[in-house]
Amino acid sequence: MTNIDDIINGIDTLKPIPPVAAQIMALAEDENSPTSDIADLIIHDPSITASLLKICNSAYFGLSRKVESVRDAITLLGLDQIVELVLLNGTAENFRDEPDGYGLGEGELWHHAVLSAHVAKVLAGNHGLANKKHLIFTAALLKDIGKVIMGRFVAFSYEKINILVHSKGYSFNEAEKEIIGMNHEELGAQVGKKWRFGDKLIYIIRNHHMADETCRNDPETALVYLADIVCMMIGFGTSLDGLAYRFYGEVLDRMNLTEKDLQNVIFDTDEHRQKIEKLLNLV
Amino acid sequence: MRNACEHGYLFGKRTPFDWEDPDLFKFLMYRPILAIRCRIYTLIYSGCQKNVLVLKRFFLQLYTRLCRTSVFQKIIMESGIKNSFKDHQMQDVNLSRRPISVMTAVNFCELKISQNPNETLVAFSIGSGMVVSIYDPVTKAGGVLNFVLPESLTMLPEKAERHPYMFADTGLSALLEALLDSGAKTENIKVVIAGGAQIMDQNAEFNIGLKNHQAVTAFFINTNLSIAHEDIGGISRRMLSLDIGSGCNVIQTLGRGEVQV
Repeated sequence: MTNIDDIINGIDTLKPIPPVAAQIMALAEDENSPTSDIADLIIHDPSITASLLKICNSAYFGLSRKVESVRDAITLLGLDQIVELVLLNGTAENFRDEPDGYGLGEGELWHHAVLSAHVAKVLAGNHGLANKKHLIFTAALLKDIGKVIMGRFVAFSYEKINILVHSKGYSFNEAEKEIIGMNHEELGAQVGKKWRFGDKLIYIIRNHHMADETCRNDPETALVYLADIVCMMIGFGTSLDGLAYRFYGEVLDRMNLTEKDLQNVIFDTDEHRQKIEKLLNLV
Repeated sequence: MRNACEHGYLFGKRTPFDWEDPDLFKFLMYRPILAIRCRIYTLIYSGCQKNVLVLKRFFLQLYTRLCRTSVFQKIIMESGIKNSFKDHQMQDVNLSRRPISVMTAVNFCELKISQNPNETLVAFSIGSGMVVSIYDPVTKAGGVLNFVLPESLTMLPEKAERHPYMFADTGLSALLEALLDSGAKTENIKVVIAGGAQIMDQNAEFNIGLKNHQAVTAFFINTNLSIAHEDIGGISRRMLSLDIGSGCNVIQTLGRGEVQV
């Protein structure tokens, strides 16, 4: 078994999230904070202005006039869009490289993170959690942050994990836990603690594969979980771990989702995918 | 694996190592970008003549796995791997002189038809969706469809119209029609299907992978065509390629090896 401290120390190799993105995450968790607070944060942070304006003026958004200030950008594109761009910009660095071990190509983990975040956000709107959409977006975006560090250790133990998964019926995260002593959700939660994420965000990251029975009642975690499995089913951003995670039908039942709804979610996800791939070239 | 890692370390410093070491091969397969960044291709020149076959296999797999990423294409262009490989060692040992084929990715919900013998159609990352490959060895025409959902009738009609290749029913008839249009005959064609994986413990109601498979099977029964090979179900991601020149299909199941049909 690998020394857990070695794994935890790996957290320091991650690139820190810019303060403005971290502050937005903190505000997003508090339902009562007015959206104007978030807007103020973004407007008054010079470090992100240049990249924001560059993205907003790109052909992707097709705006009829040039965006010259962040305030302009918020008026033209809406605060939600700008918040997402800031979050994407702040987290991209860590996900871009190819994580060893999971067999993912360069950028695949990042694409998966962004697509599932987008899907989770849309689902949040459809399931009456629109007021928490930034939190859910962030949670889905960062849920696999543990994989970035974990990959190296998975690479060393892949053969053993593979045997457990394919012969003994373990799910990939259970096998990680058994062989390495820790899985990517737990490690993600540790990253969250170190980076001082809010409690709810850490909770969702820790439980995004729903291993713990109590969290299956939590609507926010359920949305992130659903977005994740839909991306897996499409085959997007999965690799050696494949679809080797557990499916909990009761989570979908509790959200009143039928098979037809699931198919609709898959359909919409694929439509988002085409749009998002264009956006990712900008961030 | 640890052994391989030491190799990898040495490799970074360009120290000679054993190409036939299966551990090393595996190690590099999971880190193709690293392999290229370490300028693997310089080794082609450095006297490992006897291992050219191993190398050829390695590069083809590497290429198949990564040719869709723009980063990789850029590295390939910059490093000149393709050229040095093709011109130098390949001709010496009189291997196939056909250039490394053009890879065309068949993304989700796409249908690609080809008659170019140097082209290989590849569907990467198949999850619960399915990929159907149809090939006619007489006319040397082939097509690959990558769809994710079993039935268009469950959707609003305008959605189905917008993305016909997303569904088994509309996609498959389009694939067959396109091939027959190109001159293929139903009695000649070879059908290979892959995909339909499912998340663990996925109950029947939500098991889209299983439903996709049923939809494909039903379609081919209705059209009186038989499926030559199928690789379906399970929990692994797959990749399927169709080489138009030879009609050969390769199905790779990540973490579990590959099958050639």
